[in-house]
Amino acid sequence: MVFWIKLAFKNIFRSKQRTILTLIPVIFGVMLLITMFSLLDGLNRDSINNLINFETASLKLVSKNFSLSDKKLDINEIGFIVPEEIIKFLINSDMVESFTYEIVFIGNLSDGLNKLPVLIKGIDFNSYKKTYKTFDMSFSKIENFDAGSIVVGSDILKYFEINTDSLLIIQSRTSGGTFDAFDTKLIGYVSTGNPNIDRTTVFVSIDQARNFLNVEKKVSNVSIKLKKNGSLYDFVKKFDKVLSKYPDLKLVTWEDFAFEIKAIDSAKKYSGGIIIFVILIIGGVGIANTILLSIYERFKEIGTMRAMGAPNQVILKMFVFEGALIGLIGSLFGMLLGGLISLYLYRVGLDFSGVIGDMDIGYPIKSIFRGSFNLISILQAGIFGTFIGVLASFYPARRAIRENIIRILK
Amino acid sequence: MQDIKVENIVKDYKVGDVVVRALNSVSLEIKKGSFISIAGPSGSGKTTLLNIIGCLDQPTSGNLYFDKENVVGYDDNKLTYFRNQNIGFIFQDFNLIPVLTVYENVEFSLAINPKFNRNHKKLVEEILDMVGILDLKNRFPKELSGGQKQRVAIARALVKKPILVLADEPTANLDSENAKNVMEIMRKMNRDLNTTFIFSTHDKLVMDYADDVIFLRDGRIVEKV
Repeated sequence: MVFWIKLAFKNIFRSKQRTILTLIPVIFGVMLLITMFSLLDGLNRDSINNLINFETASLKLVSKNFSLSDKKLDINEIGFIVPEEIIKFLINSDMVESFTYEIVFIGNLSDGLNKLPVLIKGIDFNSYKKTYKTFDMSFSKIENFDAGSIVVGSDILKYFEINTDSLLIIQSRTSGGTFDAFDTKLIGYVSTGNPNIDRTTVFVSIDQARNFLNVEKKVSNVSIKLKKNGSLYDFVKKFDKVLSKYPDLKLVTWEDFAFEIKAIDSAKKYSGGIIIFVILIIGGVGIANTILLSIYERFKEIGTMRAMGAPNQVILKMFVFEGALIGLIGSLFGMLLGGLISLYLYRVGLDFSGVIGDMDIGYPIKSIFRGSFNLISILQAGIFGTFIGVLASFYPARRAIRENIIRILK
Repeated sequence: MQDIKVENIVKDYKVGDVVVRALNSVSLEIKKGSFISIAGPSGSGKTTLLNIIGCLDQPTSGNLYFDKENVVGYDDNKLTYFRNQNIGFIFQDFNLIPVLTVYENVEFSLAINPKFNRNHKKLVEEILDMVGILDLKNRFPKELSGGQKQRVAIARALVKKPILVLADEPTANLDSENAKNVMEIMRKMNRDLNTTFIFSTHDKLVMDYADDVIFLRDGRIVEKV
């Protein structure tokens, strides 16, 4: 084996220039493959983190009228009073890290001149802070907020061109169906990187929300954060037993909320995969062409080998090794470059805020795109590149054993 | 004992619609350890006969025996294996692999053997020593003279200890001094290893080394000396 690898190595560098030209698309293809999967994996990971940390927690207890597809927010339809038994279950469960109540409704935020449609979340600050990381990203540091205080997403602040302590008005429909408004004072803003929070969300205290909507003890949902080592599925199984007594309630996990992200992710992986597959096919054609040229140039040599009694498998092996070696060398360089790029993407990321602006790209990410650094993915891309080399050289290698020995010896 | 018997070999080639008879009922018997030259003008059928004896080509009719084994009718794989185990070749243009060193060129002959084992270093060095180029073992073919290249080719043909070595005009690309050296080495190897050598040539000096010279003309044996 060592003899054949050594021979293949020597053979591919007979024409250095041609080999280098052949290597370029393989290097480029493998590098792109690694970069694309790093970026998509990173986007997927950050999207899910953004979803869990700022929007959904591990799971939510909601009314059975709540639907992921139409996302109705009318408190009369989806609001519910949390049964005591469920509260006890959540407090006593060793799998629950924390839980919090939310009242969610839509309305307008106005500074007297401009009006912006927003999503208003009535929250219990202390339990919300334990369940979500939203207030870890707040400016200035918010310790608590009382009735009449609000915290907004950073983009809302930019939209109104205001500072903290500014006075704003929230307008919305109450549970009775009438329009009403209340004055608020901005005590801070949050900058989470999740466009759904930063662009459209206003936080008020849950008591103020209840008073305004006139819903007393109702909530829109209970957000539940599980402990890190807790299994979501085991918890859902346990919770479902308790919930069997409450047919008007159901559980929605973060995975249910992430179905759009997953769909976008797989679509992007698929389309990106096609592009890279085409690039690698070009690389494969390059390798096939190089091997074929090499066979034509070395016909007499091949004839000598066959005359000496080299079996067909040996001749095939020799050229397949050459193709594999080109694929491997290209892949190694591609892995190195792709690895460095994904390390950069993982550590630093790419700031697309200028490009994206207010666009909705389908991911709950709005500025920095971070990649993942996964050695197994890098290795898989390298193996794929080498495999392309083997595949591409196999057909031309057959050319070497089909020719008549006497003809090629002349 | 490995005698070779060529029996009524006929070889026809089709050139367009015309059938050209390259060999016409050629028969001969070659004893093991012989040193035989096949001579004749261009187109007389020397190379065709060597190709058939070397199992590179199949005759249109006739038989070719190595002892009692008739190889006519063998399929490609069987012929390849037969050549691999039993026949060495020396070419007029040396046909060395340019990217391999002298040592590796000889080693190649063993590497293609299905029974190849890695303890062959001594074997390769022994044969290089016998043909007098052991000190050149790390050189590449481009660093060798014509005579040295042909010695590598001889070592490559002999390292697997074949029963037969075929050489098609082995001295055609050499000056008379190198041709003489190469013939002396071939003769020495023939005697030391008792390997049968069959070579084609036009050269009278080369013919003088042979035990027997077979003259061919128009595909027939016209004289045996």
